[in-house]
Amino acid sequence: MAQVLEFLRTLFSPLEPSVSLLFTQFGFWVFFLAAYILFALTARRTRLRNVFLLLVSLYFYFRCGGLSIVILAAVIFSDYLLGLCIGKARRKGWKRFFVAVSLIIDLALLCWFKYAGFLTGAIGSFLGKDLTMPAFLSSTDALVMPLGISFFLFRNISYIIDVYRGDVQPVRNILDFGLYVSFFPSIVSGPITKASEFIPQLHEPFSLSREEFGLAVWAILCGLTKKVILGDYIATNFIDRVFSNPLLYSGFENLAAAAGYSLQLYADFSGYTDIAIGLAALMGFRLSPNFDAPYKATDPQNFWKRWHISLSSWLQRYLYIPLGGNRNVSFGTFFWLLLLAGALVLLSESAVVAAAAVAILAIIGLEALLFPKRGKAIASNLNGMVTMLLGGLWHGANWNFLIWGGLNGLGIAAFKDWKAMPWWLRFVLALILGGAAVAGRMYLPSPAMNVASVVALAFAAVTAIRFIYHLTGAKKEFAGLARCWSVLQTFCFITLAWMFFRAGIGASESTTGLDTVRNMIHQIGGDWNIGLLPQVLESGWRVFAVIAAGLILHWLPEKFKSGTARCFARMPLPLMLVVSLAVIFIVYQFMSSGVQPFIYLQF
Amino acid sequence: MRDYCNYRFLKAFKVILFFIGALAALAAACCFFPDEGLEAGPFTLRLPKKDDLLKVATSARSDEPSPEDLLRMQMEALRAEQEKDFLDYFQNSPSRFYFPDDNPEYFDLLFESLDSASVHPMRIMYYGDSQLEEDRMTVTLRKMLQTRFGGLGVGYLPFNLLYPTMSTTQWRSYDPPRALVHATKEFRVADGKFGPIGQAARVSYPITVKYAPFSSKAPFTPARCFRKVTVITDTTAVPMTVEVEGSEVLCDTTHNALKFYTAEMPDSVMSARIQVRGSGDIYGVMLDGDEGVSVDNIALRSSNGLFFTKLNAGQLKDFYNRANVRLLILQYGTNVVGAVGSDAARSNYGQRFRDQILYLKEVAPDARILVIGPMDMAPGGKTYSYTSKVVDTVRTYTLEAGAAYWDLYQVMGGQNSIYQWVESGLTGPDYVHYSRKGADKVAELLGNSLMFYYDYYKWRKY
Repeated sequence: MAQVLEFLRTLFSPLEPSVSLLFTQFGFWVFFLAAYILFALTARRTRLRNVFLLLVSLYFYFRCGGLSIVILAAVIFSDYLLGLCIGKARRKGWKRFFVAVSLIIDLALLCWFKYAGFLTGAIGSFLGKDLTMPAFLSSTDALVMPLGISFFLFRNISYIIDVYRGDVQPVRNILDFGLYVSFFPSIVSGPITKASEFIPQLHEPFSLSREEFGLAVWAILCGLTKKVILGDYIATNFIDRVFSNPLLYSGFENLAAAAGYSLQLYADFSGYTDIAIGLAALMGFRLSPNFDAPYKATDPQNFWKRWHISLSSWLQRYLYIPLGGNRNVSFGTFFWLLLLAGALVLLSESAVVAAAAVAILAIIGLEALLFPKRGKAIASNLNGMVTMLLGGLWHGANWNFLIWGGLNGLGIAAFKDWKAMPWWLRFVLALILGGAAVAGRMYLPSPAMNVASVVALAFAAVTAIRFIYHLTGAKKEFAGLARCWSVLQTFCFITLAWMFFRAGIGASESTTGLDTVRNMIHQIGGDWNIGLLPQVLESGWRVFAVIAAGLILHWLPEKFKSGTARCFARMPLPLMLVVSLAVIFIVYQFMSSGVQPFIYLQF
Repeated sequence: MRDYCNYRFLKAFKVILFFIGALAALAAACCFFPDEGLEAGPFTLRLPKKDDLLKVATSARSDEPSPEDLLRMQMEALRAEQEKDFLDYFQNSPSRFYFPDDNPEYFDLLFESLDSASVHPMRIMYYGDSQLEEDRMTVTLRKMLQTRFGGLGVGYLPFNLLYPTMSTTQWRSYDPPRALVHATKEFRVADGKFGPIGQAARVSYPITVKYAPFSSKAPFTPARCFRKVTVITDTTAVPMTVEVEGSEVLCDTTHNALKFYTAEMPDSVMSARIQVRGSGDIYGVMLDGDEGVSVDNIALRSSNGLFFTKLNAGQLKDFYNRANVRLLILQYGTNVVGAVGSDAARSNYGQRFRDQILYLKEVAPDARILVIGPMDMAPGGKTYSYTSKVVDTVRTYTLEAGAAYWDLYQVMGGQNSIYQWVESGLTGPDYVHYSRKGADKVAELLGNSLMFYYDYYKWRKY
């Protein structure tokens, strides 16, 4: 009994140190149950329910993030006031002024906590001094990033801009606005709900249909399964080990780890979102889905319509389109391009990189000058590239994240251009690419060149086959086959980009992260030691089986998945309880001993 | 979610009942489930114990020092001891050396060589298993010693550098077949002629290799440049022509066990292109300065350290003598602990390892030998309960054979310390291999400890 009381005291007492309330921990579910019991008492009275949920959300944030709640409260207050000011201002100049003040506050906070360490180091190194950051609102000596800061600031920015554009009315009640910003299921890692979607729900009475309840429980169980089995299990037993020391593992294992990481990241992040959506649904709130089977994407552009949808649409709405979108380039495009080129030079400390950045910009400028008809396509590619690079930089001031963003930008632009080309040009380009790969393999033999040549030859061969088929004028489209090839191609490309992303997480120095990728490619393109394969498969069959099962599940038709969800949701409650317990039991068998936080908590 | 929902509404208290039912059922199952789990075929089914369930992760700082704090404390202790009493350190510090006959003057010969390294360049050969790969451990130790006693270059490198290290990368025009004393042999090697690092490459037609720093952005250390390039080959090889940066290099023919093709560069350089024509076995390349200390990284993956007696004695004697090798460091254990669970297996390994040391003493009479024993590790998530017994066995046989011993197991913090090391990022998530950060810390501690004994030597001398 004393142990239970001690547990409850640690969990709930405001005098105790902050706790980690992850969705995968028993403590969180006790917290949620306690909150839900009180919620049930207030559910009938909308105003009271909202006030209660705001208090619970703030208390949840305080127990997890400690004194960072001061920052959350400050931005709730400032953006609430600025939203009102924008709504009341009659002249556009004043509206713009208030938007600027809000953006300065929000972005300054974001930059301070995300990039101050990097900038202090860079400036200190430039001045030859050992500069340190003041660590306010932190219980340690280091500057600690407030929990979920990106997500609640992005939510605030979207609200302010939408109010300025007239898409939403300013929220009159600070308590409503506070709940929109701090709603506890989604405050830590999203989804980044739009005010126009969430605020109206605050005025609706609580309702939860029998089937909605079933779907919410299903979402929670799916989230837990994804996180623990497809995320943590393969990470702790395989992927983390390979990424921490790729040279110790064979080419096959490195390749499997790269593919496995694509699955792990998806399972980890979408698992969080599924649980958040399920929890919100239990309280009568509907959050938009954040993922739509992203590895079914047939091209990089399509991938970003399916991955982290709330952030992608946020970037599109508040960055890509204001930059000019696919219409034209703006001052902002050049401003960010120059700034990003500067960041590249600062990170690389290399004149060669600076020269390359200038050369690339000059080539693009020349292309726009020589082919004015391609102006819109070039503008779209440039704006897309800036958006993806800034998306990369948002994850951290690190080479790996910049390369990851750049690769995605490049992939999207290359795909758009490729699609616009006539078949004969695609064929010629594929032949050139294949030829270059073979020549490179012969004259510059290296593991990286081996990988490049295999990929280029496969690409060239498939393009040639499609071109020849196209020449025959045959009508049968083989749409399924073409789709499979596109999905595989996109998956490989995205996996390559994720390798940089994963290596960048936790890399103490950006070069270490790059070394990891270099070493992985070295192994993938090197000797595979096929003789060792049976031994590798025997010792790691569980992990490989989980990776394979995860990918197969992911690629199952949506109809099948939603049918299963509906089937579960319509079960009688006692049966649903038994099935849920069985799922939790199975999930626990895969649980690792340590606490595995969600990957996106750090961003 | 709403689009295919029917609107038979549910009251909130039913949701509460559902959750209470789920939590209560789980709590009851946890209380009655056997602690050791249930066997079901290849799986062991388990449920959390009550204690695990009621554990809440807090952000409060633990009273126990982290491994980094522990190491820092040891460093501080080391500095404090330096000022106070050397002997106290020799007896009590976890990072002390164990010497044969408890003789703290065991390293004096080595320290004399270090003092005269500016006139007579010397080398330290650090043999080990995968823990050393990528130049881990040695990169820190080398930097420390070369900064203090002079010296350039990364030292001895295999002719086939299959894995880039954090210091050096290699480009080669083709992959010649190679033979490792303890593993793959792509050609037959007679009389144990694998060369001084237990690996040989056989060339049969012209080959070009280029050694260069791994990253041009890495901070400068003395090891990044070198003034001497030495290609080591078998003497029975068909006469070879070796060119370094386009200039032919003559061979030192005064010895009959190994051939040294040494090129003196006009100035210190960071990369070298070597072209070899002819056919025969090549044992490696040394990139050194013309004075000071060289520290070699000899990482033989999956090795347990029992291969030295298989190496040709004549080649080893010749090399250790000509290269003025004054310290041999042997770090093994990663591939040993899991295989010596019984007393008999431990004793057998200890005796065989002692034979290796005796053999090395015979072929390198001027060198001191330092053994670094097994670490705490937990492959598969569980530590071996008998690691301390393996450590005791290796230490006993090492001292009996007349070599010094450094107890890595104690330095880490003893039984189960590996978990904290992993948590602190000092060891990788496989619970076996050090991260670069961890290897740096260990090597720093090893180097500082060695320098502490060096200070003691100076203190006694003057």
